[in-house]
Amino acid sequence: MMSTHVRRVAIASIASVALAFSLSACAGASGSSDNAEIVVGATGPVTGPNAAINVLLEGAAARFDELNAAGGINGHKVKFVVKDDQYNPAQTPQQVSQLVEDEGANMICALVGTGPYAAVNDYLGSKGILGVPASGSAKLLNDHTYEILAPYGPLGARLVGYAVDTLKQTKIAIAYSADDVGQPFRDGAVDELTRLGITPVAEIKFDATATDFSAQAAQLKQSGADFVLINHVPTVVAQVQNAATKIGYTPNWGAGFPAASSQLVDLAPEAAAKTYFAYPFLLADSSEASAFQNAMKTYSPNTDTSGVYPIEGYTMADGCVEVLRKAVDLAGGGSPSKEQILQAAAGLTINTDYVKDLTWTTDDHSGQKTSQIVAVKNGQFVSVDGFK
Amino acid sequence: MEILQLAVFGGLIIGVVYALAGASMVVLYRTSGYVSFAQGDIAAASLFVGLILNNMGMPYLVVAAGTILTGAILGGLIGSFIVVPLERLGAVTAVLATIAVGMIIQGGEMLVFGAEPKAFPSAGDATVFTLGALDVSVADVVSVVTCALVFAILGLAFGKTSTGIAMRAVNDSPDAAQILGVRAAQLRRRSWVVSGALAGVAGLFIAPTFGLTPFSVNAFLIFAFCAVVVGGFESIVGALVAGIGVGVISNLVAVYFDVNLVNISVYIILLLVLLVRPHGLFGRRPLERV
Repeated sequence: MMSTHVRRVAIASIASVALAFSLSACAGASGSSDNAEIVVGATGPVTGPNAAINVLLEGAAARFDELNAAGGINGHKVKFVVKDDQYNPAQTPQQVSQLVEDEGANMICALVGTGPYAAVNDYLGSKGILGVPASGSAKLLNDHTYEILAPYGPLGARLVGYAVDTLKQTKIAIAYSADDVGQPFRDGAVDELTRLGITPVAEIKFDATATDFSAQAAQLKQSGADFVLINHVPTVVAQVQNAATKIGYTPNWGAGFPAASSQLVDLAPEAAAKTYFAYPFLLADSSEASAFQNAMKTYSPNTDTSGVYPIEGYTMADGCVEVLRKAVDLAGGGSPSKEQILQAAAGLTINTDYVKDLTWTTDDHSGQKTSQIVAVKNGQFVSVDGFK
Repeated sequence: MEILQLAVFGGLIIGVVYALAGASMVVLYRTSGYVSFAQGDIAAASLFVGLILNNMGMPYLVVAAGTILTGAILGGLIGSFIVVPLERLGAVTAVLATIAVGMIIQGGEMLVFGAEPKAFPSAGDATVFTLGALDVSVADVVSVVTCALVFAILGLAFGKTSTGIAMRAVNDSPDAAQILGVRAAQLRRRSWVVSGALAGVAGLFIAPTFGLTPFSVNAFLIFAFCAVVVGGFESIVGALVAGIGVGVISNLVAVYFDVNLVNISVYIILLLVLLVRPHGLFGRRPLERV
């Protein structure tokens, strides 16, 4: 038989152990665990036909690596986990559920593509996970989705303003795809034209998956426009521009940042030299982007940084880092929970070298509204009109 | 009127490309009785070789010749060592083999060249002459002339030469061809060589406008396949007429109706032809002795 003393010691020991376990469980739920890493996930086209875009995630990874090398956020390092969905919305749900349920991701940052994010939007909402996709589409925004990338509407408006005010060109046509890439861009351009009292000389719809754009080029030429707005990836923009050049039609072009890459210069050199881009990022080789350049050299030296995607990814991650900083504050310096990360985004103002003057309000979760105008001179991208 | 001219001319030029891509499929079908889904990938691989030659500073003629030769060699190798030997297991197996070969080629290209589109030289962008609203370039003239020559040669070859007639015979009546001493396997291997070369030719007119990726030529195969079905699987002339028809009609639909109706209109034409003339507008109705 156990003596009373031994029994009391045993009970006290068992109670202590039980208390320690329950306290550590509570700590897990509130997110506070010394130096615990914060898991952030993303999907993108690591392989497949769109693998060229994956450099966006390499840019994002470089920012997180840079942060970790500097000690993380209050000692908490960010583990950035990337899964391959080949930019195929049918594959994204499985990859994102692995990120959330297997990898423990408490935030999704820089998930590539409007379509892929749309496929997991509801799932992330059901899990209470903050999503910051690499997209400017207003259709994705909801209680748990915030954007850093500029929405396409203001970019279209910016280009209209530049064409009218600086280039003094008022015969403006819009070539657009009837999807989340082209439609908002077109709407923003039309709104700005209306505000200026100008009617577009043509609005020409195209199918981005088509194998021929000669019909659209013919329609644009017939319109007599001296400035044509278009928003899509470089290959599509180049095809439209080449179709126009082929029939002797050489207007000035205004394009959104997705087309601002050396690909466009290679594929449509004549038209690229007459193209102005609404560009909401720092130029990759500018002096202001030295941190980006250093990070890429150190953590992703094999990435070609000449296009827009790497700095886009770096900028996105820079914005996500600000969210995480606030989330760590909310967690009292500990590793934040997914609830705290989501709470951190509400009402946050981000103003860094890379994300300029972005405030998320209750009614507005969209990305930054300012952009600069960039053009191609001697094969290089140069700023011709600063951030506005 | 100007836009009609531009739309028709643009459709003609792209239709020529569909026709050339379709011809590559028809040549194989005429001899082997099945369609190869590797033609786009053979074209892409040939174009990458052409790109290497271009980057070495070779003139366009060398680039073009290298592309076509690579297509011929690659087609010949695929036919000789993979697909023709598998024909003994049936046409379905052979077709599946072409799909597998295509995927393997794509994967190899991705590994070696990556997915980023690359600029490919054209035959020439300078304007040769102006016709109303049309500026006809060197590349336009070359594509039309090449198409005409290719189809003329194919028509003569299949109709007048002993090899061409033998190629038709091994598909039309393999038993009779064997009795007559026609070496079917050898002829089928040759058809793969010709088909591969034609894929390279078609690619030369696709890559300059659309950029070169492992997938860029495959995007054309859908319309080229439609052209072949509409024209008739066995008809070289059918591939030409239907290819140009598909190009012109799709452009006119895009200009005068809605760009979203282009695919629908092509598939409607395809269905109508299959319902009314299932062997194609220029195809022969298969005859059986009873």
